[in-house]
Amino acid sequence: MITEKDIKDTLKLSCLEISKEDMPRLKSDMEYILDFAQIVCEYDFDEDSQSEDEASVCRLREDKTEPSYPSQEMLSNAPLHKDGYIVLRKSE
Amino acid sequence: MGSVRYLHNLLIKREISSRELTEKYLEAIERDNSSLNAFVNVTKNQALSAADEADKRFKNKEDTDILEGIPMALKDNISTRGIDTTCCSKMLLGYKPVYDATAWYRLKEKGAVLLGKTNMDEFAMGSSTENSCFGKTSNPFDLNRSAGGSSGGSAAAVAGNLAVYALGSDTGGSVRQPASFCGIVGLKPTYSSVSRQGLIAFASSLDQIGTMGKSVEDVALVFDAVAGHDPLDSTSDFSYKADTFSSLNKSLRGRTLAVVKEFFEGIEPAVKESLEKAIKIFEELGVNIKYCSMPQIEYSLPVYYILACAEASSNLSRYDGVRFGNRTKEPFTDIQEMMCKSRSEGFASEVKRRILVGSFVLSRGYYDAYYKKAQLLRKELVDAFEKVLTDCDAILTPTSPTTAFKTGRITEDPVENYRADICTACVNVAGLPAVSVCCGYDKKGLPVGMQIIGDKFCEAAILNFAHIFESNTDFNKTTDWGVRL
Repeated sequence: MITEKDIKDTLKLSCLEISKEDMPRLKSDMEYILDFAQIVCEYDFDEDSQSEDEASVCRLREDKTEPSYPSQEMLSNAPLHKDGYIVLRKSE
Repeated sequence: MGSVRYLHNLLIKREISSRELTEKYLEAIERDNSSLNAFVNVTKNQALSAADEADKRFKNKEDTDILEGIPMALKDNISTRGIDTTCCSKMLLGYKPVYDATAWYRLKEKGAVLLGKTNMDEFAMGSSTENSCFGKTSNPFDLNRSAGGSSGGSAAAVAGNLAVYALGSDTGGSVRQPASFCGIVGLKPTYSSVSRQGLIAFASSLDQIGTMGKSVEDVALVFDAVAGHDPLDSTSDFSYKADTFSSLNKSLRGRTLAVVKEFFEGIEPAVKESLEKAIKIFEELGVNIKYCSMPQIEYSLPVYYILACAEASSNLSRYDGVRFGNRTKEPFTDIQEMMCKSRSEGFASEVKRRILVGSFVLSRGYYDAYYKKAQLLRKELVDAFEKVLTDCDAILTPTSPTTAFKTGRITEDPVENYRADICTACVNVAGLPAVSVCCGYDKKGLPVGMQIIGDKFCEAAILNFAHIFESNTDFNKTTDWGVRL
């Protein structure tokens, strides 16, 4: 069972906010989903069959420098930019 | 003969120009897209420009690829340099990538003509293409029904004859299920066979770009063009070289298909009937059918949702309103509040729900119970598939337990929509390839999809099964929309 406190903590972790009115619906949805996932928590692994997470074989390319993407083009996606910097309002 | 080869012959012989062909498709989109809502962005100028370039090469009798000058579409989570790529989310409205996705780049290099970007469930989270900030996509077979999701726009574009082929993405069935609902072919390849560079991430260990077309041949040709190692994707397989087209016509005599009983539980009678007929057809083609059981399938959907939501919560944390994407216009006192408001405005409810579930299962106190266990169960699913595939060439299942459902269904239980992925999500969890091909129609005339799952890097084998089945049946109903070739 997920509590309202759990949801508020998770909202903070996720950097999301919802209105008070939406909280009951969200709580109900989360309960349905976590109830659905509960079968995984209850699965009984044999001692022998449990394996350590295998290291992923992730072969990386050679570390050599190459020109990056054009910065002006990238900046054009920012909501606000000036003189080559992304602009954010100073916190009060 | 598939549409791509047919059109290529017409183009080579100059019986039609790429420009004329592209104009036909653009006119059809203008006429029909308001009903289907397959496209969210039509790139008319770029399409005509690419068509003109293709025509120059045809006129000069230069060496041209079979995909040269053929009009196609891309799901709107595949990055296209300088062209809006929104994932159909308010979060990314107006976002223009500064690079092309590798899969799109490879097609562009071969002269593909991009007609536009197609509709999808927001950030690929959904199975109906109703969770889009641009509205729902309708099924060309019945406008009151879903085209499936999340690649519903791509599926509807192909089935509605508004594009010759399309690329989609598949994390839990998002290419195969819409292909099934719209009566076309959809391939979800082996994880790591197609570069994910430029595919806007949902769940990085599950996502794959897939190909969609009217025929297995078309899907094979496009897959061969986009697959292969990419140094820009560290998960991309080093050695795989796709060549599925050349083995499409191999005889199936003596091959073995496994039928796993768990996939046939709880499916609609029409789906069951079509699959049973398909099994008989394979038997007549000389295929051995082996019946078996995989009890681990029961866990596949919860495992999928735990892992997918966990990865999504991480992948979507980059959308914070700082460098790109929606930034709130509401007043805020600090950067944390700015990010919070920007994200809450930018994401719709399904995306928020999945981010929250993902953050929850990764959080202290719950990580071991949910996420770690899901990872261990994932390994068991991989092993279970490996065991079955040791004794057979492929596994036959329905693609979806139902045919296309009506849009606008209201449900108290969000999990009800997740159950549509029961046949498909396990394939992503195991990293295997699978193709969906039409194997019949229900009493309402809605397509039924059959899924063929293969071993890793065995796209050639599953496409061979699908192509021979397609060649020996007549399930190629075309809809009245779009361009008739």
